[in-house]
Amino acid sequence: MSALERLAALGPEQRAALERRLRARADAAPVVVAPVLAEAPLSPGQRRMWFLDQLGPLFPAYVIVSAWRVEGAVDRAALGVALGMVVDRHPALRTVYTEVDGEPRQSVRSAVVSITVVDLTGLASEERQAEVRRISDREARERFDLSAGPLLRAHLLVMGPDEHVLVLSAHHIALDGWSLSLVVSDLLTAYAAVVAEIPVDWPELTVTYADFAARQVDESPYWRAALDGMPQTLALPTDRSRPAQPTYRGGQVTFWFDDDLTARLHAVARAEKATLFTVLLAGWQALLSRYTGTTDIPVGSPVSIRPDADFDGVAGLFLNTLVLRGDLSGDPDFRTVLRRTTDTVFAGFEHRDHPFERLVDQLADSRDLASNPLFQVMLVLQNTPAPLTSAAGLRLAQLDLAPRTAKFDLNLQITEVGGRLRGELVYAAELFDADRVRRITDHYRALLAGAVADLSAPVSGLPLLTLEEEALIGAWNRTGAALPGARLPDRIAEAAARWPDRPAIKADGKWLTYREFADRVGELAARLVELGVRVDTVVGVCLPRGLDLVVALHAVQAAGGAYLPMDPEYPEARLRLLAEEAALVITAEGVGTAREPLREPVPTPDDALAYVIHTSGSTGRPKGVGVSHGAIANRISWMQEYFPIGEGDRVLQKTPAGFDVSVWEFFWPFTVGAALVVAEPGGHRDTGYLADLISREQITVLHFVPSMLDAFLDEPSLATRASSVRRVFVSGEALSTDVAARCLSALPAAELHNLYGPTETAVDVTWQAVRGLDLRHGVPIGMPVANTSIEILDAWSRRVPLGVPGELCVGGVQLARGYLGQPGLTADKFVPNPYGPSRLYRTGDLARWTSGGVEYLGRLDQQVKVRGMRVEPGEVEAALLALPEIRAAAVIARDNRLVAYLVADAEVDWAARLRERLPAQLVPDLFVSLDSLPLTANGKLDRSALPSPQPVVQVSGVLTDREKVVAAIWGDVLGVGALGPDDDFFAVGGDSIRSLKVISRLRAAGFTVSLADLFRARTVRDLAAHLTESGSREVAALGAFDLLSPEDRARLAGNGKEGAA
Amino acid sequence: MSDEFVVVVNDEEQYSVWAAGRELPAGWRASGFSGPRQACLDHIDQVWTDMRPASVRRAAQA
Repeated sequence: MSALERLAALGPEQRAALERRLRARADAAPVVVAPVLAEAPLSPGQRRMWFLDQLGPLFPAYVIVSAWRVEGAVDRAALGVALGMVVDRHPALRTVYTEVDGEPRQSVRSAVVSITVVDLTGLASEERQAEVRRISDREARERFDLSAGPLLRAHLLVMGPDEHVLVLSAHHIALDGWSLSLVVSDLLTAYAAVVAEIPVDWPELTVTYADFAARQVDESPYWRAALDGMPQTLALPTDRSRPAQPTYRGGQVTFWFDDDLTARLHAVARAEKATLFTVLLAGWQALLSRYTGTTDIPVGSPVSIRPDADFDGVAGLFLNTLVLRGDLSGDPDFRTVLRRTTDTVFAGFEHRDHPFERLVDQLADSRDLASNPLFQVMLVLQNTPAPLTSAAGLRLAQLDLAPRTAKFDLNLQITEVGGRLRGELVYAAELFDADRVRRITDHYRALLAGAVADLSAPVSGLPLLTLEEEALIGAWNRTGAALPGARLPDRIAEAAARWPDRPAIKADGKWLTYREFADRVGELAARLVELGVRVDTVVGVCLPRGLDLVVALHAVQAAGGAYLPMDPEYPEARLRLLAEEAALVITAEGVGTAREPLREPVPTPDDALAYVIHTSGSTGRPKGVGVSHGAIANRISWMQEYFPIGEGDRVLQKTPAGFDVSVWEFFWPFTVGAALVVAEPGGHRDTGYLADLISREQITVLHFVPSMLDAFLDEPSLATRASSVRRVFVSGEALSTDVAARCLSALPAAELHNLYGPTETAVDVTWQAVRGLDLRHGVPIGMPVANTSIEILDAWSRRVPLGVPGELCVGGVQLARGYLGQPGLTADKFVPNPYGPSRLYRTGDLARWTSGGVEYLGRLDQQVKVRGMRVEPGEVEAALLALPEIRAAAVIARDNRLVAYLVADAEVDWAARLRERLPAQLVPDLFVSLDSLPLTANGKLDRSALPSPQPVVQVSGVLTDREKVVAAIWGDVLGVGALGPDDDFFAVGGDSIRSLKVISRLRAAGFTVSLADLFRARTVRDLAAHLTESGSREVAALGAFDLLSPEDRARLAGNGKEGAA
Repeated sequence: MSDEFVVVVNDEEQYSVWAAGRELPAGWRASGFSGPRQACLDHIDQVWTDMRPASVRRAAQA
C-alpha cells in the first residue's frame, strides 16, 4: 500500500486532523467538548488499574514515564504536529473512563496533547541534569484524571541548541511499556513525515483495543488449583517493619552480570531446555527461599497478552500478571529447581489470559492494602522491542530513570544490554535500606554463579555471603582474650587471704568480713569432703535466701563439687525430682560439723562441674544444665574486665539461685574484694522494698529482668533513692525501648547494659551498652563476650547474610558440658562447630546480625519466655494432661502471660492443682475452657485459632468514685476495658508484676494501699474499700512489704509468679 | 535437608550428630553409626554412658 493509498484509507476524522495539522503546523486547536467516538467495557487489566486509581491519592499513581535524550535540531512545531497524529492514531491516548452505577466504561473521544516546552539552557550543566530528574520524578507522581483525559503528557526540555530531553508520561491504564515504546516509534515516524511534508507511512491498524477489551476471558480452574494453599505474604527479612499506610517511596540498585556469568546462564538455559527467564527466576526464588527459610515462594511476573500479530501496532494495556510459585521443598539441587520452574512457567503461560484481578478476588485472604496481594516480589525480564531511535536528523537515547516509587517490596528487572545482563532492583524504601538491597544483588549473583557451576549441588548449600560479610562476622567473633583463668573458689580464697578484714557480705541483717565468710565456707566445705563430695559430685542446696545459702553454694565448690539450687518455694514433687540428681542435699537442718575446716579449696580440672541449673524441658522433665569451672570463670573475668568493681562496690543479691543470673551475683564480688548485700527471701518481688534496700545499703551494681525493671521504675524518687547505683544489668527477656529509656532517665547516673545468654552458655554471651545508643531501632543484644563466638545459621548450619534471621548459635569456652544424664539431648543441642573449634550450642533463639551487633528476634520453636523465664508449653500441657479431669490442653504465651486452654470434665481451681506439680512460673495466668481445641486440616492443634484470652467482663452495678479509680488503673495496667465492681484482679489477667504497677499507681493517685491489700481484696469493690487517702500524692512510700507480716510475705511468695522461684 | 546423619565424637569424647555426606569439622570423627537424626540420638543415649569430658575422667581416676 502506497503512502497515498494509506492517506486515502484514513477515516474522515483522521484525515481532517492530518490535513489541518499539515496546513497549520501548529498545535493550537482549542478543545471544545469532544464527542464520544466509541464506548467499550474495560479489560480486566484496565479494571485493576481503575480500582487502584479509585483508592485515592494515598496510593501510588500508576504512571509510566520514559525520558529520551534527543540529539539534533528539533523542529518543535513539527514535533507537535507529529504528536497530534500519534494521538489520533491511538484511541488509547484519547480514552476516558467514567463510572455508571459502579461500573467503569471507557469511551474514546478526540483529544489534543500539547507539548510543554521547558527551557533549561539558562542553567549550569549539573542543574540542568537535576532539573531533568526533578521533572521526571514529578511526572511519575502527577496523577491523571481518568474521567477527563487525555492520559498522555509530553514535555520537551531544552538543554541546548541541538540537545533536548523528551519526557513522555502516561497512565498505565492507557499504555504498557511495549505501547509506550510504540508511541515513541510512531512519533519519530510521524515527525519524519511532517518534516519531509509527505504523508506518514505506517502500517494500517485493523483492530482496536476495544476489540481486545471485549474478548471473553476463559475461566480456567488452573490457577485456583495452582495457587491453592499458597502463603499470602513472603516474610522477607527487612530493615524496618511494614507501615499500615505505606507511602510507596522507592529506590533502585543497578548491577551487572559479567560476560562470563551471562554466557553461563545462557548455556545452562540451552543445555537444560529452559529459558533465560526460568534460570533467572529459579535463582531468584532459591535466594528468596534462603532468605525466608520457607520453600513455597510466590513471585509475580508481568506477561504480554497481545492476542496476535494484528495487535502488535496497537497501543494499550496488554499486560497480565502471573503468579509463579516456586517450590524449593525437599532440599533440591539447582537442576531440579530449574525443571520445576520450567514446568510452572510453561503452565502459567498456557493460562496467561486469566486475569490477575480475578485471582485476587478469588484467592487473596484479605484485601489488606498495605502490601501487594498474592505476591510482593516481582521478576521482569525486559523484552520490550527497542523503538526506532533515529529519523530526520534526530537521534534518541533512553535515559535511565531510577524510579522513586515502588509498588512492590522488591521488583527485579533484568535487561540484556550488549551481551551482558543488567539488573535493576527496585525496592520499597520504607522496608529496605540501600545497603541491604546492594547485598541482595551480590547474593543473587553469588548464588547463580554457584548454581551454574554445579547444577547437582543442593540449593541450600550454594554460596551466598559476600567476602565483606564473612570478614565482618569474623571480626566480630575475634574475641580471644587472656583472662585470669583460675577457678572461682581459688580466686575467692586468694581474695580472703589478701583482704581478710574487708566487709564481704551483708545477710540476715549483719555484716561478715572476708575472713569470717571464708571461715564459714571452709567449715562447711570440710564437712562436705568428709561426706564424700569429690570432683563432679552434685550437691543439692535447699535453703532460703540468706547467709546460709551463700555459704553453702561457695562451700560446695570449695569442696570440689557442683551445687544444684533447690528453691524451698518449689513444690515438693519438683524438689523430689531435683533431689534425685544430687548425691546429697544441704537443707536448713544442716549436714553436721567437720572435724577441722578446709584451708584450701579442693583442686579440680577446669572442665569439672561448678553448678547445675535446671531449665524447662519439653518432655515434662526439667533439663539439668551442667556448667564447668572454666566456663563460669571466663564469664566472671569478662565482667570484671569490662565493668570492674572493687572495694566500696556493693552488689545486690536478689535473683533466686535457680536462675543462673544469680551465679555472678553470688560469686563475682568475692573474687575482687567487693561486697555482696543479700535481699530478704521474697524481697526480689517487692519494688518498694528493693528501692529502700538499695538506698539503705548504697548498692552500686544490680540486675533486673526487664519486666521487673519496668515495675521497679514505677517507684517514686528513684533518682535519689537509687543514686548509689552505677550499673544496671538486664537480661532474661527482650529489653523494650520503653523500659530502657525510662531506666536511663530515672537513674541518670547509672549505666544500663543489656546482656543475653542461655543457661547452657554460662549466664551471658553477648552484651550491649544502652546509654548513648540510638533507641529508635530497638535494643540489640550486642556483641559476643570474651572467648566466645556467635554464629547465626540457617537450617543447614550455614551462616546467613547480614540482616537475615537465623538460629543464634554460641561457640567458645562458656559452653555448658551438657544436660545431666541426657546424652541424646546433649548431642542434639551441642553440635560440631563448622566455623571454629569444638562445639556450638544451638540456642533455639532467632536472631540476625546488624551493623550494630546481634538483634534478638524471638524463639524458633514453641518455647516461650514469660516474665524472663523460659517456659516450654509442652511441659505445662503435660502437667495439665496428667490431671484426671482434663481431656485436652493447649498452652500459649500471649502478652507476656501464659494462657492455658482446656477441655475438661469439671471446673476445678486449675492453678492450685498445678502449683502442686509445677514451679510457679510454669503455672498459667489464665485458664480458658473450651468445648474442643481448634485443629488444622491435618489434625494438629491450630494455635493461631485459639481464641483471645480477653476475659469476658460483665459490668454490674454502678461504680463509686474510688471504684472508678481502681477500675481505671486496672484497665490501664491490664489492657482490659469496662471493669465492674465484682471483677477479680487475677481473673481479669492480673499477676504479681502487674499488681506492683497497680499499687504504685494507686499510691501516685494519693492512696495508701499495700500489696497485700490487693491479694486480699481482689475485686474492684473490695480494693476500693481498702483504700485510705494518704493525703499526699507522689510521696516516697514505704515498700509494700514493710507493712507485711512474715506470714503475709510467705503467702505472697506462694502466689508470685515472676522470678525464678 | 538430608535425612541421614552420622554419630560423631570429639577429642573430649563428647558425642554429637552431623549431616551425612558433609565435611566434618576439625576435631571430630565419625563413630561408625549412622541413620535418621532421632536414631542417632537414641544410639548416643545408649553408648554415651559417662558424660564427663575425658580430662575430668582422667582427673577422677588419678
